[in-house]
Amino acid sequence: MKTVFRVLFHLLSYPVLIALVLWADLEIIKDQYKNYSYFTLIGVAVPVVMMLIFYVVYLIVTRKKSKKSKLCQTVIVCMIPILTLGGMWVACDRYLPDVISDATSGTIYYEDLAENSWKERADVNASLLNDFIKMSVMAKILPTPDGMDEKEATEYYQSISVDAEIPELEDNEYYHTINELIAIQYQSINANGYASFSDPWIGFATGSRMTIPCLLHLLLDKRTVDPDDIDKLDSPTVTYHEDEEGNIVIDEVLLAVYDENTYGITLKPLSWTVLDMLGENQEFSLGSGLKGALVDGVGGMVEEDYREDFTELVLGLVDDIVESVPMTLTLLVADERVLGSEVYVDFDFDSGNLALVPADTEQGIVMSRQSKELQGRAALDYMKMAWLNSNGLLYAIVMLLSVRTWFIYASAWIALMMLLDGCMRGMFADEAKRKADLYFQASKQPKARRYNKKSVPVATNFMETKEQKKLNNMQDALVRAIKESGGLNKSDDLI
Amino acid sequence: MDAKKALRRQNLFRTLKTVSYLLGYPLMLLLLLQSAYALGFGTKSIATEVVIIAWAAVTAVQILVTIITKSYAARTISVVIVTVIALLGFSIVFDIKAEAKLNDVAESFTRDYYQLEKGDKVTITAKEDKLYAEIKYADESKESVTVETPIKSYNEHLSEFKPWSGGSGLSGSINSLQGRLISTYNIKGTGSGNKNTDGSRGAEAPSIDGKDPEIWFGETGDVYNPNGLYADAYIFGVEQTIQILLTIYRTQEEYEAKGLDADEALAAAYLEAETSPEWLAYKNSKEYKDAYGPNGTAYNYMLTEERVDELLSALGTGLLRNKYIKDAISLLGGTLGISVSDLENLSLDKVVEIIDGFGVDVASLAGGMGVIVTDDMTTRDVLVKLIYKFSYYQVPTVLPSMYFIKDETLRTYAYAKYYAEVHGYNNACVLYTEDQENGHIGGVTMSDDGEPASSAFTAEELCTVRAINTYSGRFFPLMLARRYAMFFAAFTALAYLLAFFFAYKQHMYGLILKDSIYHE
Repeated sequence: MKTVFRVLFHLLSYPVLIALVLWADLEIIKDQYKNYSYFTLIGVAVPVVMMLIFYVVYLIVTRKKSKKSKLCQTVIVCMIPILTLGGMWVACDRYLPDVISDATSGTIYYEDLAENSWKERADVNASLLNDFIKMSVMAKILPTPDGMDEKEATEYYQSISVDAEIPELEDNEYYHTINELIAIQYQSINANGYASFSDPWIGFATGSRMTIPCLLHLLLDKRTVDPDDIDKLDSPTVTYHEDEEGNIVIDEVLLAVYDENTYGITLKPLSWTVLDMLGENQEFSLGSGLKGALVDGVGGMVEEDYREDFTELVLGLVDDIVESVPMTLTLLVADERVLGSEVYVDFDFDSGNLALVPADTEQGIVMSRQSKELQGRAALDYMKMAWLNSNGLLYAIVMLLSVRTWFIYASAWIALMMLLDGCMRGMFADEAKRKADLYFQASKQPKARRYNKKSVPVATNFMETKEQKKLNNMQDALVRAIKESGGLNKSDDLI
Repeated sequence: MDAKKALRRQNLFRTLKTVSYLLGYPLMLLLLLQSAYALGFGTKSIATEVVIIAWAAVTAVQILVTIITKSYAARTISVVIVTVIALLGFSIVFDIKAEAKLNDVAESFTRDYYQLEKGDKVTITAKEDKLYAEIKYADESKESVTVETPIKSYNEHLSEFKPWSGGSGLSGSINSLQGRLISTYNIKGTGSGNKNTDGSRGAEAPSIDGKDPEIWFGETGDVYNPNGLYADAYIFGVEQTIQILLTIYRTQEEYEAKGLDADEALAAAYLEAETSPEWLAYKNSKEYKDAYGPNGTAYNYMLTEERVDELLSALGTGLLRNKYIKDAISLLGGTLGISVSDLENLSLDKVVEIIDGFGVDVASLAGGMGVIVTDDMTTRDVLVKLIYKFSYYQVPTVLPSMYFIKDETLRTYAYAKYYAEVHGYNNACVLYTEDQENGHIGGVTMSDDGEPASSAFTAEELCTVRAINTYSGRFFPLMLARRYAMFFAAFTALAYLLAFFFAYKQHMYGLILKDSIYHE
């Protein structure tokens, strides 16, 4: 019967924790194992490793030849889950913040994930990949397979692993998997974008302190690419040279784009703008009075007799101009001499609303199709690209955090199970026996060790002398042994 | 008594002894930590220190007396007395000191806000909930006045401070004014802190008349550029904001009192500084030329004539690529004074030509925008100066021209205005705007207007925040410690008394137990 209980207690310890973790993470593992394989198993792997450690120590501590009492063995066994699982909980709090900050370039904080929001984060990360694939298909750097439309192609790429070789990219010399494409695009937006801006302006822009001087600095300041931000120098995505002192100077960090002229995927140098980093439209209102002011202004130029006809003529012309101006401005901004990067201008003359649309948004890709000279970029904004690039690691962190709180509960629960296991192993009976042994050893002492009321030293403080302590312990043991062996009869000769 | 019973009793008293001990200082500390946490003081506040010191003192006495005597009675009495003295003594000393401290704070507020002379006398009296200051001027022609200060009296603080009822509300009321200051100006600092942590580059700043720049606006540490200005990334803290704004307000008041305008005086001072031999000599120094000379480092961060030419050229050709715009220029160009060929070769010179053709008075326009224009300047010079002004980058190693302003008051005013208007505008923490009607302060960004100028703090509010800051950091945690000390003085003493009594009983039953085992 005891064995049955012991098996039950063991089953209720680590296996239950592992089962619970598996149950909590199952959905994410099912969805994302194809993309991030073992990273998604971290949450399960940690308790499994903890279990292995536990049983190795358990077997060593409780081996038959052990000289430790069963009580002592049980205490040690109970300590292991508390130390390992509790330690894991503490370690998560101590070290994960730095790991998360590194992995996401300081865009996600531990507090954002630690409590119950890890599940939402997993959802966000899953949608990042889906969005990236959708935009890449739209921008044609993930080719639409024959017989499929864009929507089907998107679903097709979303259904395969990020590490799967894509048959349509067989001839491509730069990338063959979605993951390799993500690496190219991220390197470009990071090294040639975010990291190339001068301090502190990009931090202000992404930290809700984007002022006009800040924007001007981001647009006008000289930018440099740090070789440390490049993963691999000897790759077709980077061109560089060495200066006179032998320092590496990065010339260009290339981005994968679709070339409308050659109908193929190519690499292109690109100057990212701050709008690309933010990934959202900047909207301004120029006021709805623009048209009226123009009519008045134009009307004032000519004599009254001709005014009406002239204004009509000019307004007709203006309508044409207004319709074509956004594209003109877009091309103007994309000019090498201005920004050298596409920022689409969306302008509504009647309402006076002007929007600057970054090229790395869905709207940007759609707008890029209006002219052969423009290229939409399949990249998410900087923050999202940084997350996407470290998605595997982020998943590992998310999986670990998903079980972090359970570790602390499980540590106490498992300790309790092991205490019960200790009882089943005869922890207390064993202890009573040891005390009895101790009593018999004490009884073999010479007569001088007999105490009467007078000879007992008076302990007058909490801090007992060594001798008193020894004596007290011995007497306590004796009394407990007597108690457990069924009490004392007056006739018993103790000594 | 049989051994079993004696053992049970011994264990019972052992448990009671431990429980009694835990009901003393450990429980007090636990409850205090909980309150301190709820009030936002954190667990390492001075309140915690007070309790730990008192506990340590009592423990030290306990050990000391134990070494001297084994008598339970002696040990109990000494520990109980020390506990009561430590806790009640602290409360009494705090009551006396805190009252004096509040009076000092009220006095310093009065001196700060009313800018009193050293010889002026301030007497503080508490009336109901407020502290009032009676000012007796050294100048006997001025009549003495009694004013109300924003500092609450100690009794009012005591009646308000109820840590175990509505604690979080209390922490809000302690710092509500400071919280509003932080949000209005979009500056750094939490409710209880006033330190800035955004300094990006550490540097040894130059002194002016032997004074370090940190003396001016109250910030120490590595937050300065080598030229003595705050680093580019620096976002003001509470103290700096108060100091900068008070400098502006008071300089303006000072000039107003003389019937002058501080800003006009400052403009004249700038003109004088920028034409002074010192400034002109400095402009010839290597330090300056490296930054603003040909190919200087400043042009990595600002618009240059070449860059403007490049942009204009792109603009001209870009516009002409649009058929409709080209048609419009052909049609209206004559009236507007612009031809297609102008646009084809658009450059700064061409723009100057067009402007001159229209006969626009650029010099007066530029003057209105705060650009100093001299008679010998051409339209091109004025335009270039305008371009530089609006894209100007203050190189961290180069002294600003205001450094050369001779009048100390105006120079400090110039720095304060530069920080409040320019630095603040760059970093979305505008402290001051001259346009008091329609201007904005605080977090003025591309997507946010910040706060209206009317929500700016008055000098009185600024002085109040500063005065409260001088004591709130220690005062309120100490108030908390005082509350607990007063309540727990008797309780802790009782807990010690019981702990010793139970220890004694435990000991006695130990003796009985031993006796019963060997004599049964």
